[in-house]
Amino acid sequence: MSEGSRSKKRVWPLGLAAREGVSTARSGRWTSLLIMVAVAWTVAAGAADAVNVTKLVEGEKAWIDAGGYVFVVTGARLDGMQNPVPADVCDRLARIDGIDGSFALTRGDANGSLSYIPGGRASIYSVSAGVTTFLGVAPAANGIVIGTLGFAERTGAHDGDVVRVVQRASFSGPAAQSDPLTLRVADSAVMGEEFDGAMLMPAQLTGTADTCYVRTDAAHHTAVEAALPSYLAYNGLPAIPNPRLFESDFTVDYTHAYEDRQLRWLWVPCAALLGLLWAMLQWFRRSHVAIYATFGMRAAPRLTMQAAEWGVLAGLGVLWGWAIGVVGAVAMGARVDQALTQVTAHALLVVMGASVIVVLLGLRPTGTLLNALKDR
Amino acid sequence: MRLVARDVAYQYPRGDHEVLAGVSFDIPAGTSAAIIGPSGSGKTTLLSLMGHLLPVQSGSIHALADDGTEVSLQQAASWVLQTVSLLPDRTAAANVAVGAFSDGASRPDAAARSRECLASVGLAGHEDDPARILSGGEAQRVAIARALASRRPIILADEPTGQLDARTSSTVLEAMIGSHGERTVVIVTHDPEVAERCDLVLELRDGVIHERARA
Repeated sequence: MSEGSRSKKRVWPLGLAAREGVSTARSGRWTSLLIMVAVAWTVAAGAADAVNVTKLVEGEKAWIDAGGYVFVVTGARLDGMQNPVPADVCDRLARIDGIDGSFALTRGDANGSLSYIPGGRASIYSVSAGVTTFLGVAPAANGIVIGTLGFAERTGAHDGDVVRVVQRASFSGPAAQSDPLTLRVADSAVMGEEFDGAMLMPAQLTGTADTCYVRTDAAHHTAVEAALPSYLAYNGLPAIPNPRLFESDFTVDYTHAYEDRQLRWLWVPCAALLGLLWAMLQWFRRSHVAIYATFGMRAAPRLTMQAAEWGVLAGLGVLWGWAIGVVGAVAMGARVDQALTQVTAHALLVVMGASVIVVLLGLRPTGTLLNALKDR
Repeated sequence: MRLVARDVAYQYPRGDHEVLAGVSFDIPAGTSAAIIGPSGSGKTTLLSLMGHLLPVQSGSIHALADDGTEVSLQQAASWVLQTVSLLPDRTAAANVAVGAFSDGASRPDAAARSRECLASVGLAGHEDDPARILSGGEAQRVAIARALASRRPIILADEPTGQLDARTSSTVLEAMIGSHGERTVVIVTHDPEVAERCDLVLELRDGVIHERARA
């Protein structure tokens, strides 16, 4: 064959190199199985994160239900006296982006009972209209009174009952009976345990109130906390926001729990493990690479061949591992949506991370069979 | 393709004498040459210099095309090494096809060449055998078939028949050397019978070539 005809032929086109890689993957037997199993298990390990995230979500929900992301804002203390907070401003805070509920509350000596259960006397707190959104109770045309769970349990009253409230401004003061109101039963845990058993009377609070309850979310928690002192300032004195729950109440800081979870980075050791395994395989197979190099395979087709083999094995391994991971996560208590999301994200990160290592290894210069002569 | 060496000398960095001391030879295109000599005489060193694995410290080694232009030995030569190197999980035919692919063969062409070359080294019918189940001699013949399938104009072989019996060795040599003028073949060997089959015998002794032309 002449040199001219040789130079016109394209040696190791990428398509051929890719097919060679696929053939290697198909004929690899134990090595191929080893890589697939390794990929599958490192991908399936994402189930641990899915379970972890589900627990965090459930824990955060319990935390929110108990008052997480709720600030109890009071006025500053001055000369031993506590300033009030502006009630109307407090009620309007819910219109601000990042605040999804707020209401003002005024404490007092008021107490009362339902007219048809005279013995069921309970503390009565005046609250602003925002309480309905905050506690998630439905309004009614004739007005509502909110009975806490403890109150409903103690009196046997039910949500939707039409009641009249016999109210006294003090324990022994004169009684006044309200017009018929619809009783709404609500869980007041978000406000604090001291309110369980009490009644909340929505009213047109004008002027000031003792306390403002503000609920935000994880994304706005810090910003809202910083803004509340000025929003609810009274007589030029900034208000004091306190988290309804302190960290010590829950062992986990849910504000940062999702970002701070260690399993978030599980993909890194998984990808590194696969990269190490692939590197070891290439080292053991260095004579195979040398065969191709001896017969004219340069860097681009060599990389294509190795990438094709990796693609086939990793693809099958991911499918296998993804299925194991999702089923395993659900079996271990993860929510289905969390299992799908976390295992898929973990799988993508693991494969992308390992693929970077595979490519870097494929770009390394390799010797030919002739290098064996050096050792003789 | 013609192979020309002029005054090639080589001394290993930690060695106390020159392994090769002014080696010169001229192997005409299309001929076969055997390099013989006692162990340690520098045969493999000379082969390594041809493959550019070791730097030529002095002198020169060139592959020259018919028109006299110099051609890279790395691109023009196909190698058969004493140490058999096959892809163990691939079939014999797939291993031979690697050589054909290096010549730009298409897959059907490579498959046809594989059958043809395996038959020429006495392995017809073994195309689909995985390389890992082949005996040492069969594997060596597959490696030779792979070199043949590459259709490179030069074959450089290091003890290619070391693991073969006399009859198989004859078949393999016939396939490698082929008809006169087909390719240039250089064989490093200890086997006098192999040397007898070559057109030239280059005997390395005391670092110098003693050339014997055969009839």
